Parts: sequence; C-alpha cells; structure tokens
Amino acid sequence: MTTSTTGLPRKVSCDSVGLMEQEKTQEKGGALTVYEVSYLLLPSLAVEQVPAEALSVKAILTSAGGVVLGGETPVLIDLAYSMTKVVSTVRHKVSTGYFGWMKFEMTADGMEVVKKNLDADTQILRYLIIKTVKENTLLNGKMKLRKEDIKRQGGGVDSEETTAEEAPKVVKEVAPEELDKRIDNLVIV
Amino acid sequence: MNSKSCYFTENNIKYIDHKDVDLLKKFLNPHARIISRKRTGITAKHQRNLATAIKRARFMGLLAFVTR
Repeated sequence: MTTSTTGLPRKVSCDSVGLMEQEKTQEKGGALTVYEVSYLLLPSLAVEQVPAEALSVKAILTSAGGVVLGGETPVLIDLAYSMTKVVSTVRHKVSTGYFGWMKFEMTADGMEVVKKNLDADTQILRYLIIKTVKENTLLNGKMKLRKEDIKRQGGGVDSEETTAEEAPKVVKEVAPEELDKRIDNLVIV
Repeated sequence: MNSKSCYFTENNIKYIDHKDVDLLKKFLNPHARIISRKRTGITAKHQRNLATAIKRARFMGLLAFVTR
C-alpha cells in the first residue's frame, strides 16, 4: 500500500507518523466523549437522603476523571412495571423509584471504573449509560413530571392558572340562545 | 399521524431523548407496541432512533413493555 499511483514508493514523513500515533492514542481512550447516565434509586430512601445519593453518583463520575455537564436531581416516579433488586439476600420488589440523570464528559478508559462503582452501589436500582451530545436533547429543557409528582411538589399554582384560563371559554361556548336552538334540534330529531 | 410527513423532520428534532416520555408515547399503540413506519410516516433514520429511545425508556421503567 506504500506505492503511489505512479508506481513510485511513497515517502512517509516523520510528522505524519507522529500524527498517526496521536490518532491511535485518541482512539484507545484519550479523546473525551459525552455520556449520560440515567439511574433509578430505591424508593426506600428517605427524601432527605436523595440529594446525598445524587452527590455520591456525581462523586463516582468525577473520581473516574469525568466532568459533569448537567443533569436533574432524582424525583420520585411511578414505574411502568415492577422491578426487583437483590441486596445481600434481601429481595426488594418496587413499583416506584427516584429517577435522576447526569450528563458528563469522560474518556472511554474511565467508564469501566464508573460501571463497577455504580454496580457496587446498593441504593441504585438500575442505571443506563448512553453516548449523547453536549447540547440539550430534551424538548422542553426539563423532564416532564407526572401529574401526581407535580401535585406532591406543590405545583398547584400552575393548575389553578390553567383552570382559570379554561373557565371563561366554557362560559362563551354555552350561550343561552345557542343552547335553546341545540335543544330544539335535538327534540325534533 | 399523517402518513406522508415526518414528525421529527417537521419539528426539527435531531436527537430523540429516552426521557421525553410524552413524545415517545405518541408512537406507541394501546398495547404499548411501537407503531410501524408505514403508519407513522417517519423517515427510516428517525424511526431507528425512535425505536432505540423507546427501548431505553422501557428499560428505565418510564414506559411499559406491554399493557393490557
């Protein structure tokens, strides 16, 4: 492969060899990749302990040489199906969990350490690491909480606003004359 | 869903996130199965990415594998 199209041997300069070596080292794990870890924490955790657990996940990432780019603190959600986790002969069957996520930048070498540490954490029910991009990938910028969670967190102001907006529309639609006409039509039919 | 237009191309969505549960639910039938490309009208590339996102969401318990 060193011969050129003219049939003469191609000269390989020292600089190009150096570049190739550099590329190889980057492929091995020198280059930074953006990852995202989503995790579910056991619901047996007290609400006060959840931020501390999120910090411990962050510590796992930073200790392996990762740089955290962003994320959301864990929120209690209803799971779509029940999951089980065995912690030292005790079987936990749960249908709720604290769901949180974090975006971070890291080399491929550090990922093995991260996986080992996340596996060892007994409070983590499940986790998922994926490759992603630095930019915001969520449509609304934040995860949409389920209705129950919004109520629990005291987001009643928004719900009140929506009902206040909807109320006048209903009044407009139900004009007495129109109602009479509709009723008449129904009676004829 | 209009069969001839791609939802993601129209709304300029380049990356389908597995945490966007409301968006993903639009492409599931009442049995929680992924609706085919024939019905959704999504481009092949987006349908592949959508399927991956749905499967990730299922694993994390955000979406069900089966319902009913």
